[in-house]
Amino acid sequence: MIDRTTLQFSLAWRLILLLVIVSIAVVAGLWWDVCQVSAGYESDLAHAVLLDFFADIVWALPVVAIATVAMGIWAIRSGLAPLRALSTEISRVRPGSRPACLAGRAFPGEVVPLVATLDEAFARLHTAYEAQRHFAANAAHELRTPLAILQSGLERLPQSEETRSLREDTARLSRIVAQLLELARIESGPATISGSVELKGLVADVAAAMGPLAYGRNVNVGLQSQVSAINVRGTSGSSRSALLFWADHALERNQLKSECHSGSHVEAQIVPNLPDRANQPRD
Amino acid sequence: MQELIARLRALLRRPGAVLGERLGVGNLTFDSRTRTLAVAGRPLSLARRELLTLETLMRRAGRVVSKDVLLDQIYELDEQPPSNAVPVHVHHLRRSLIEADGEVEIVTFRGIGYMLSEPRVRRR
Repeated sequence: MIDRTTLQFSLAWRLILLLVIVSIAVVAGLWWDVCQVSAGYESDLAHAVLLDFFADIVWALPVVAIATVAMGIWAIRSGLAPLRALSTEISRVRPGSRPACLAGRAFPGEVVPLVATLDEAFARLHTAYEAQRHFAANAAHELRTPLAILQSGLERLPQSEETRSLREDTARLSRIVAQLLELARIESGPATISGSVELKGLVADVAAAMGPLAYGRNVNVGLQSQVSAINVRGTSGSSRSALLFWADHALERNQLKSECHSGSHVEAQIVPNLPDRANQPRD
Repeated sequence: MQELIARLRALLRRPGAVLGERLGVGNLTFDSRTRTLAVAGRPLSLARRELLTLETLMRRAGRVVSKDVLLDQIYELDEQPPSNAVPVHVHHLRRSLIEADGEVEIVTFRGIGYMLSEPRVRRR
């Protein structure tokens, strides 16, 4: 299938059109000359010589045309090769990572301003992302001490229904703060993942850790899986933190009504959405 | 070597025998030295594996204990437990505790494990 939007197609059809017009003009001009010369000399020999000359020129026209088109396509392809490499590099950019300076590469002069603009845009995005991440981490750090003091003060109060409720609320606040810190830690982790994690065991571990909290909230937690193990790409610590974060967030928002099914979709569907979920307002 | 491992496992399974620990959850008390269980002060006799199941759950009260951990505590290395061993022991244990008016609850987390907890008013 020919892509009509490419530069190659655009150049090729223009070149072909130009070559057809030039060829028609040349052939017509030569034919006119042959007719003139033949009429002037009235000689069969002159006619034959001119026809030979005419045949020698005409065969070269399509060859020159094909060579010109091929050269044009090759020039465009080789000229655009750095852009394809640039596209591959940019496709690997993840939150928190940024490509090395792009403008230093060998690009055609026409696209250098575009690449420089891309560089600047990435730098601005990276700065904004870092600022947001540092804000979350700093806020969580700043909140930890007053929360610990609050919890300590509540522990000293006499036991009553009100103090129990206050302790649960401060415990919940502490968990949110711990999750903020954990999220900042996950996001500052390596962008490339080389290891593998057994997801079913990890989900069982997280479900067991969340079990008492879920029980306290009338939420049934179970694990149902048809397979004995699910291996996915990832790091154990980050995956566990992400699953804990998700499960706790779901419990807080009362979204985890019945069961948490283990499966590859857990990693694929939930983990990439963590930052979005973290930004959702809590009830 | 196998005997040494078995003795170590036995010690780990019953640390109370070394530490002289008394466990209490709800109105249950378990003396790990004498291996006796009492419900509201009244002695309750249980089968050996049920007692081991209860002891394991009491040592981790309020936390979820996986089926594998329970199997590890209840059965010896050379024993081959049936596939439904844990649910059966838990079922018998629940029945015994209900009959003895035990103020505890064994919560099932399907596919994960069990948790021993004091019954409480759950919040929504």
